[in-house]
Order: sequence, then structure tokens, then C-alpha cells
Amino acid sequence: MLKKQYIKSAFQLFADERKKSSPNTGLSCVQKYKRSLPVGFCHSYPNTVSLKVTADCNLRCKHCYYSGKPAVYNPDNDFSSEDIFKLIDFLVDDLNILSLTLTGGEPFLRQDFTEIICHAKTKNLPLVIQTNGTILTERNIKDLSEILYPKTDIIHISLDGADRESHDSIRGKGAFDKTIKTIKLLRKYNLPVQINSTLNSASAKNLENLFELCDSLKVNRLSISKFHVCHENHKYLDVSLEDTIYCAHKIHKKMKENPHIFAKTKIIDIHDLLKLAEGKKLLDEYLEKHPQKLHEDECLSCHNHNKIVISAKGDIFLCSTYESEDTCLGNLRKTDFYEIWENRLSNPYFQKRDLSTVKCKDCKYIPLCGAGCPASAYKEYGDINYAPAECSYFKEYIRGLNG
Amino acid sequence: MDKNTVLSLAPHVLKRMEYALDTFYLLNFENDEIWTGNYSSYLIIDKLNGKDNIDTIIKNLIKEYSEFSYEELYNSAIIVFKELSDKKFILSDNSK
Repeated sequence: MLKKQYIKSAFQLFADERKKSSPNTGLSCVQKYKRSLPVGFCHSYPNTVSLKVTADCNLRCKHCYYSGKPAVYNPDNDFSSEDIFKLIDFLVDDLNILSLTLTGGEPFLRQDFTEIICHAKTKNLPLVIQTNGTILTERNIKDLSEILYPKTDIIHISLDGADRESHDSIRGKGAFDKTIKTIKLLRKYNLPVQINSTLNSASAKNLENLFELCDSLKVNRLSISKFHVCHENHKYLDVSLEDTIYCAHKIHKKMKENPHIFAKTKIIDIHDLLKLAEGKKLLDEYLEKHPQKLHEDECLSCHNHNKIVISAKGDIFLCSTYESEDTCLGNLRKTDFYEIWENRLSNPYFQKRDLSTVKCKDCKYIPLCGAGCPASAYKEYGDINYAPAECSYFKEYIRGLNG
Repeated sequence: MDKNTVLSLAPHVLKRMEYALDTFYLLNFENDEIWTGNYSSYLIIDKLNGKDNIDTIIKNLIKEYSEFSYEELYNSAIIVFKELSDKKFILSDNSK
């Protein structure tokens, strides 16, 4: 039986995360730009790109999207150095993108990865580099310290849990020590680091200790998301609703104790709270006290079309969560980018949705969820106008409508 | 600033054109300032390469937009350049 106090602080974590995206002073230029756009605005061209520079990876993590598909890690179809340089030139000079994420696979497996970073920085492009942190050498890190600009660039390091046991149970023996060593070196050279972690059954027991770990490593940015089960083999990593609530409670407490650590969490969402009578009560009180305007969620991919993912072999996706044959918009090696972009709305997952026509348009919670992820709704019901698969309240709502 | 001045975008400044809104954004990551203009400003700012002086840039623009005279383009562009230079979005170099 969940204590009310746990549900309350889990709810507070949900409410606090909403506040983070509300207008405030001291906005960055990117935030100012985003706020100047009309709500639900569909961009001329994407402004954020995630580029997988290689399919290859030195680890075989149990929770990887591609686990169980060894052929996917084959780097034979990776772009050449020249092709990547040309692609970056196109993204910056023609599309005027504002941010580039370089990821993989494990990007540091590419011998030319430093040159790729260098090339992107000659264009002053803000960079996010995502790595598992197991193969970087001090030489790599020294080079990065000379190339990167701490105000706009950041290195994201994946850490699955706050201890060796949790992390290594997913990523393999020895991975934790290597990653910690890399983080220490990155911080030694004053490089900005964000630790990215997931809440899963292996990390749940002491995930809150990540805050102490961040402190000891002098890292002040932390991102914790709930693990998204997208594969049968991953089901054992799923976390029950009770455990999710309890973890959210512990994380919320730690966040209050450690305001110097900028922590972003996606542990608890409205669909979790709607499954509990106490959660529903708290949501009702919240809506009464804070009347919300109805608008779509600020998803970079589905609603605003301002982010794309380019796979190592050149496939383009709007969303990294939905990377499959039927969500692929086209391949850059075969089709011109502008043609792919113009035709993106023909993909059923990523149609522009009108909130006044969705099935749950009169649901009282819609201002809080913005009708959720249309791609998830399409996958579950074959129609973006339905609620997303995660919304268990939808069926109850429809029953209510039908009397 | 005159016709011989060479201009370039300051470091850590990025361009973004939203064609659907006819709005051009310059984002300065050093001081988090944002500047907005229209498609015409995008056309001229896009030509700043740190090599060509303003005179060359205007002459190249005339080739594409022959309905405007040199003076018309120069007088419009110089106002934008001066504002952007004051706000530290672009750097000028008179030595080239």
C-alpha cells in the first residue's frame, strides 16, 4: 500500500517539472526564440539534429533499442568523414540548425571523431556529445577541452544507476569504473558533463544516490528518465507503479536537498498519477488552483517538427523513440533532404493534429497532457486522434461519454 | 563602417530563418541576446563571410535583385549592419 505522502511528493515532482518549462526571467536565446513562435508552430526546417555518427558500439547494453539485433551494430554503412563534413555544412549553412547532438553507437569508436567535432565547432554550432564514457583517453579529453565551448557544449554520459552493481548488470563488467574515470578526467579539464540515467528495475533501489555521486564527481547536471520498454526482452527492466512512485518521492526529496544540481526528471507523468485515486485527487486540486490553457505538449518531434534524428546509414526520423521502418521519413543517401522534409506529413505517425478534433478533447485532464504523444496513439489505435497507449484513463473517459 | 568594411558573424552567433513566419533570428550564445529580422535581412547577413567587403556584397546582391539600385540596397543594409555591430552580433574589420 502506497503512503499518501509518497504520492504527494511524486505529484510535486510532476508539478515542479511543469514549472521548469513555464515562462521565467533570464531566458537563454534559444528559449527566447522558442517562446517567440506560435504554439504548435510547425517549423520550416528542423532546428535540432541528432546525428548518429556510427552504428558501432563497444558495449552490448541489455536495455539498448538494438539488443538482440547484432547486425544493427555493423558500421559498414556509416558515413565517411567527407560525407559527415558535407552533412554538417548542409545542416548549418542551409538549414541553419541551432544545436547538433553527436551520438552513436559509441561515437568515440570513430577514429575521426575529434575532426568531426572540430568541423562542427568551426561553424560555432552548439554541440551535445553522447557517449558511454568507456573508451575516451586523456588525449581525447585534452583535445575536447581545446575545441569545446563550455557555455554551449556539453558531454552527456550514460550511467545506469548510482553504483557499480546496477550499472554493470546492464552494461557489462568493468563499465562503471571506466565511465567514472572518464567523468573525473572530463571534469579535471573543466568540461561540462551531464549524467543521463534511467529508472529501471536494476537502478531503482538506490537511484537517489546519483545526487551524492554527482557531488563527488563535481557534476552539476543530471537527467533521470523512466526506462521506456520497447522490446519484449526488456520487460524485466520495467518498474511497477508503486516503485515508480516511491522512487519519484526519493528523487524529489534529493532534488530539494541539492538545489545546486540542475536535475531534470521524467520519472512520473500524468498517466501514472491517473491510475491512483489519490493521484487523481491531487490532479483535480491542482487544476482547480492553476487553471491551464489547452495547448499541445512541447514535444520537439511530434508537435513542433523541430527535431530530426539521422541514423548512421542516413535514415531520417522525427523521433528517437519511434525508429522503425514505418516511421522512417526517407534516406539521405537516396533522396534529397528537402524532398524528404516536404513529404514528412505523409507519414501517418507525424500528422499535424488539431486538438479540437481529438477523441478526448473534453477530458478535464487534457490541459495537463495536451492529448499526449500522437505517435503512441497511432501505434496503439491506428489514429493520432486517440489518446496515447500510456493513458489508462482514456478507456474510463470513453465509457463515461457513452453513458 | 563604410563600403570597404569586411563583416563577419561574431563567434557563437547562429542564424535561423523561419520561412513560414518570414522571421530571421540571430542567436548570440555569449550573452543570450536574440535579434529578429525578416527575409531581406537574412539575405544580406547570409552573405557576410569575413572575406568580402560591404561593396562586394551589395554588388553581388544586385545581380540577384536587379529591381533595386546599389544606393537603395546599401542604404538599407548599412542600417542593419550598424545595429548588429552595436549589439555585437557581427564583427567589422577595416584592415582588409
